[in-house]
Amino acid sequence: MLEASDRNRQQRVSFFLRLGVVALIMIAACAALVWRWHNLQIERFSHFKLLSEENQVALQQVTPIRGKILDRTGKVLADNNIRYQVRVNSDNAKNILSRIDDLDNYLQLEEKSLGKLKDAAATSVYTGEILLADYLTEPAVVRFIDAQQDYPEAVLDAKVVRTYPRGDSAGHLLGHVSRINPDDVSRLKKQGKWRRYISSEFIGKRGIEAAYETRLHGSPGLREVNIDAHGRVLETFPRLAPTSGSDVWLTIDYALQHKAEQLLDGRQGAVVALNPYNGEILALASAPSFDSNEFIGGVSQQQWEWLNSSDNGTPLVHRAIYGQYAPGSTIKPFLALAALEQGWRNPDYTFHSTGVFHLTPRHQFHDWKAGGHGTVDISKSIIRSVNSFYYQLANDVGVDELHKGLSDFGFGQLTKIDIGGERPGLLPTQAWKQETLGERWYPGDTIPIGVGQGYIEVTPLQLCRSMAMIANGGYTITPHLVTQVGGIRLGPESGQEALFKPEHLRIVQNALAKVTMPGGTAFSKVGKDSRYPIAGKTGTAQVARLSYSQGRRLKNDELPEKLRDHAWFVGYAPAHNPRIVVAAIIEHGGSGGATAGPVVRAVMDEYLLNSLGMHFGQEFTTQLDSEAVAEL
Amino acid sequence: MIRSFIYIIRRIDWLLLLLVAMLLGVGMFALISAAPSETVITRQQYYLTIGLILMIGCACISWRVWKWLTLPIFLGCVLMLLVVHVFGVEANNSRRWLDIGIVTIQPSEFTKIAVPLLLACWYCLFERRRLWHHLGAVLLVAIPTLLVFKQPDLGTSIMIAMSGLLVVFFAGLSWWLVNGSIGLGLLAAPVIWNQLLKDYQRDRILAVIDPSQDPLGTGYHTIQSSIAVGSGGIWGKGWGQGSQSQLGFLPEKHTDFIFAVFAEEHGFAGGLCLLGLVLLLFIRMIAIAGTTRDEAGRLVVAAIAFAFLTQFLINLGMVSGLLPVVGLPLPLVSYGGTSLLTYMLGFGILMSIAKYRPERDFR
Repeated sequence: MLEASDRNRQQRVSFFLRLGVVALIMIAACAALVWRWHNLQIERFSHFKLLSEENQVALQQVTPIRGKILDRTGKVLADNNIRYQVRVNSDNAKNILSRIDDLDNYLQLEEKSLGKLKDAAATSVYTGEILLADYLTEPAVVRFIDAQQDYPEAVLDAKVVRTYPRGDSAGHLLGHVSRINPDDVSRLKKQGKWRRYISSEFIGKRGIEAAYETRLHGSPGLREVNIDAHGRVLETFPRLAPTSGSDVWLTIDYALQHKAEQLLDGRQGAVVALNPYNGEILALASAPSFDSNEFIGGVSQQQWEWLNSSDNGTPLVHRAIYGQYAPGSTIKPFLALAALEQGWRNPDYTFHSTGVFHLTPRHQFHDWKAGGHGTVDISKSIIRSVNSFYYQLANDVGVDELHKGLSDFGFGQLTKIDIGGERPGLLPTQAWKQETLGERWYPGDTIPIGVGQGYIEVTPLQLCRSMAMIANGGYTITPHLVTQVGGIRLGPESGQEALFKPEHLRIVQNALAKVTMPGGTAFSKVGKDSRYPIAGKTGTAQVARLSYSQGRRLKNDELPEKLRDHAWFVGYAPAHNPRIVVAAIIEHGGSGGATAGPVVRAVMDEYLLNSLGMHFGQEFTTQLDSEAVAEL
Repeated sequence: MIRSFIYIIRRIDWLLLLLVAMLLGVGMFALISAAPSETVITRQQYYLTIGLILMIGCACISWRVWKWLTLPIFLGCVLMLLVVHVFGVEANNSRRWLDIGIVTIQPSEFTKIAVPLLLACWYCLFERRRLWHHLGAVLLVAIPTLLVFKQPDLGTSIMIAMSGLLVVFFAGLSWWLVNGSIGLGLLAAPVIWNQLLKDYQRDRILAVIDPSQDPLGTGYHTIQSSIAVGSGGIWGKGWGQGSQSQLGFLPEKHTDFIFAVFAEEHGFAGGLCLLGLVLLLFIRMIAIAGTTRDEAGRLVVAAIAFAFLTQFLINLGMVSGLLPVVGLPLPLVSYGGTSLLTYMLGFGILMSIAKYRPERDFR
């Protein structure tokens, strides 16, 4: 008995000892907890308070409204439209899903919205807002507003979206906006501009939209929002209003641009019209073209291939600044002026054209007129487009000298137009050929340069700019598309000094004026019936080597279209007080005077007679007819 | 009728009931603020009512009867664990719940009570403690522990092992063996770390050391609950005013992380009050253990008291960022029926033991 109670007592003592040990551990744990709470709630209280506030307050950007693009007369070429959307918070998905059929009567529901609603209704987690309908028409908006009291969950919202009201007109020069893609993001980050784009959906691509992106985009505003852990916005406080992008006013005359595009319709080619004195581009057309609106939502793979396919004439290529073509005979007035300036030829130099130029007995170069043009001076070499005159010239001075002389006109150099995507053309030297082709320059390579063939290429814009230098008395100009941004006038400086002697210039100017007169190469297609004098030069750029069949040179009409020559015409008007310089190229158009000439004439008519409203006497052509004929 | 009513009144340990009711009240108070929906509150009110009835009911059953019931209860639990293994409802990559039509229950919770009950009775079978008695006891603990561990449910399996081993310890396992097994445990730690723990469990432990490693993944719970607790300050943001909890930054805010809501809204002061209340409850239970003459009863009371306090402290440590995130709810406070009913059952048995007066053994 005693033994048992003894053992019992022993057990109890041991039990309480052990109880005490574990209790001590527990007390230690409690102490650790209290220490931790003290640390969190008292010592680091302000730190955690800040963190909890940061958790619920977010600073969001407010997207600025993009600036408009207008032509020189104030016609809007790129505008912002309101795009109406109906959205629903995913919390309300279940509610709206039960009445979705009724809602379907009012709205054209998005395809994916039903699936998204079902997904959202299945979970209680907030998944964001679900788009029910997009691009609502105005009648649909009105109908929805009428019905909205029955659908308080569905929120009508308006977004600003870019539109190009003039459709496919001027697509190349305006460019377009597209959704910001990862490449844009990394580029913007590198430039340190990403902060301004966080809330933006679109960014300018190509043309004016890309070149003036910074000014068009504007600065985002800020708002403070209270959010919950799922990013659900509970309250909004505006903090800083966004600054809209600046409007960009173009030098383009939309009427003229439209006219030029109409003239090019169905063809491949480009038209450039410049103000010869300040370099303002009045029209910059490239055909075939595309509709900038199509790019906003993103183009499909199929569309993209269509835009780049050569079967359709690669609509995406901006021929006016990117297309490089042999200048053909349009190079002649520049060569003539260079020859006078550089002293290669005297003003009273004459040359006897026999119809063929022999480099060696086996290497012959022909005039376009069999039998030649007889005795030719500089003026007549331009008026009649005498090839052999220029073969001789090119042969006499050599390619490097030609390069020096033609560089003054800006050939082979970028025009520094204010949009991207320009190519510099090609003005060769001996060194250039050695470097790029790894071949030495042969004398036979020099001769075709004289008539703008071979290793020489220009863009339509370049050629137009160079012609403007002849028109304006020898001043360099920088072609540009923008007159003012946000009310501030822009415009590059023109050259301060005339590059050419006036007496030399006058010879070439007079010759160019006579090209469109009776006896000139462009009389019948350009100069005839004109109420004002036109100066200009035709050109034909060979695409393939001369084709012969049964010993006879084939005419262009007999060739397949792909092999036909490109037709050039570049000129200015009125001839002695120029207001506009126009260059046109029609790909595979055949002879320059016949296809490109009427295009240039029509553009000039539109500008001088309609846009400027100039008046000319009727008697001009008849008066000069006899004079010109007498001279020749 | 009146006699049975008086009987019931006499069976109840009123001080324990008061403390439990206070803790339940605090839990309800916190839950109303933290609950994501009304249904959670109403359900918890049902559980509370059932729990109180269960506790009083258990208190009315004599400890002598309970002793007979321990083996069936234990076997029932093990059977249910096996059934869960096969037919259990899977959620969050683990099978813990058993769907029995109206409600889903979590058998592992009841095992926390069943294991100390059985072990206490196991030791009472023998007058002198031999080593094999302890080994047998450890084996009895190991079976349900491993079953729960395999579910996998680390938190509850730790709790089951602990409640069982506490009985073994209190029953007089020699100090040598205690220290030896602790040492062995430390030596085995690398093996447990590499072999036994799953990747997500390892990540959770690492997340305590440096939560910023993966702030949106494993570190998210720890970071957000530390922010909630810390931003509470001394007096808290006020009931229903906690931005962390009300705006949904806190995960599991009405179950495992309910203390973060409480600490955010009631601050350091509220935390101390809650801890004080729990310690009072604990002291009352230890007092019952001290006055109980029946050795098995003493062991059960001590085991339940320590298991309760330990789970409470582990949960608080987890929410405060001191311990890794293990899926352990805060007893009597967190939302959850099975956990609540288990502890109410335990307290009921505790009351029954408190009123038990064995005939003096004058052998």
